[in-house]
Amino acid sequence: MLAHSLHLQNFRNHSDTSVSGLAPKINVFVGQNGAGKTSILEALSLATLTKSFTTHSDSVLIKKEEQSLSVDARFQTDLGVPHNVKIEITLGPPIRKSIFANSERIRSAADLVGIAPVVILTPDEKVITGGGPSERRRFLNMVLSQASRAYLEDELEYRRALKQRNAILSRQQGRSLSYIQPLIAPWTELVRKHGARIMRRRASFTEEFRPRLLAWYSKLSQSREEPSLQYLPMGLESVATDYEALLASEASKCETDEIRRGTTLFGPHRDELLLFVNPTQEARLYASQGQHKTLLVAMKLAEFEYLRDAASETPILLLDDVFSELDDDRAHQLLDLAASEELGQTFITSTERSRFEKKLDFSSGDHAFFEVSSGTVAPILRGA
Amino acid sequence: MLYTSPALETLIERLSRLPTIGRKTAQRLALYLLKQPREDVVALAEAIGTLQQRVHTCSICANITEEDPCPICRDPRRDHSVICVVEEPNDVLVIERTNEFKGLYHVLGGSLSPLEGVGPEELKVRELLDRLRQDGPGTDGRERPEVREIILAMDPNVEGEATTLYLAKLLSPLVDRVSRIARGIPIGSDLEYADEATLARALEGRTAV
Ligand SMILES: [Zn+2]
Repeated sequence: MLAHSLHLQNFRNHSDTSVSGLAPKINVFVGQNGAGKTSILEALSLATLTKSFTTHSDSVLIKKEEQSLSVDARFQTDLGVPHNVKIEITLGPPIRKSIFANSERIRSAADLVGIAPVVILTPDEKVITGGGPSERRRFLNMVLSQASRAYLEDELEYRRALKQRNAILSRQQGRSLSYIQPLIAPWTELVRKHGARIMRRRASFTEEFRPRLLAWYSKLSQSREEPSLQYLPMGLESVATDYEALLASEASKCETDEIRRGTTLFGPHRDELLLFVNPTQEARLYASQGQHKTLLVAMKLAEFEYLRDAASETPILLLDDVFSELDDDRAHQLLDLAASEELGQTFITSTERSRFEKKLDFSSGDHAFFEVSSGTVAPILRGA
Repeated sequence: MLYTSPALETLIERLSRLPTIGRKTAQRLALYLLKQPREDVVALAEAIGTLQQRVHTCSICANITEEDPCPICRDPRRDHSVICVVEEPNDVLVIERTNEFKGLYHVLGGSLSPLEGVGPEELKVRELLDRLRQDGPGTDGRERPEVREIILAMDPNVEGEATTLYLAKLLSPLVDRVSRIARGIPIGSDLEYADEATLARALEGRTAV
């Protein structure tokens, strides 16, 4: 997938910004903090994932004192088919968001997510290797939702059913089991049905992802760590493959606890994906700072490769302010990779200009250089 | 912006309370009405004014009707042994348009949604159970033929799915067959939006639950 042009209106501090002449390989956006560089990547995230990667709130994306924003993004698939996305968000209440893909209105996120796959790396993503289980579940969802429409649909229906089930448990908290059971029964069945499908896909993803992670890590690092992953359904060291049965047995075990605590205690929202830096060393506990960084970059490159194969479309890579976090060696390595044929189109934001000027040949037409300042974007002349 | 006429402002405020109508649309509608011939506006006001007076819900199937019981429930040519359960009166219209279904309906008035405080008590579930009572006359005093089959035609979303599961379990012991319309309808879309051909296929392809 290639992005050709972007048009932002009343998006963050951009009143009316057109970015055209995007290059097929690396696009660098330089500018000071607060200039509006990240907004360019956020707009791409909105046009591909239906949401920003920095916030859950759509309203904060609208420029101060404006009522609505719009983003127009023009893409082209690997096969050369145009793919145009338009998004409008209008302040409410209620806040309204409409998305059009090739002029047709999108009814569900599942109709858009995955068409233009994206891989996002920002300093905030380091919680994937260092944070709690929910961060790795978010990672799983991010990859699998883009790789499989069916997964995203299951995930959306699962979350809804879980919320409904929790509403009964929390409102009827302390009532008798026999009173609550017929009320929650249909929701339990839905949580089980969608939950089992989510778990099956997470388990097989882990198997497919492991060798890719190892390969990328070895490529990035001279040292001999052997990173790995292990999927623990609901945190259990289980070898079961019948997730429907596993969910049913967990569900019956925690019934009384659920009524006491007023919330659902079984299901993939309690999954864990363990990440190891070496076969017996969990990254969260044992990895050094340097190993965390290499591991994160390797995860993202493996994600890129996995998505490219699963979605049959080259993902777009968004690197937001990551070069300040990496030491020179890792930074150069990543930049070389982005410039090579191994990766596709890449968007980079940075406050420093010289690294890219020294390293990339902007006269070839493969790369483009833009300067961002107070909500405006201007191309920096190639080869100048 | 506030208008100088309180009457106009009142109308705009009332209109903007309607679903899908924002303040801007309300303003446009109000100013449009202001310019229309007086008799047109009076006719509209009358139609709105008599709406709740004339239109009721059927005491048997809970569909909207001007006569009680509704023409469908009273029609002797229809198959009174089959009841199709739907969420909203609109769904009856959609299914009627397919000309595929000759039984009766039951309008639940929504689907289960604990988040919005909607449990079985808030839907017309008790009324449905009453209709399935095999012995004795109906509320209209007449003997009614036994109901043998229930078709569940909820919206294809999580709430519709839960309602289907709930009703299937509740009703299975009471009738010969409980089926659901096949999910040939795209996820996330309401029954209202399904085209007639899809729905006709869905009615044919119904499966036992
Ligand atoms: Zn009726």
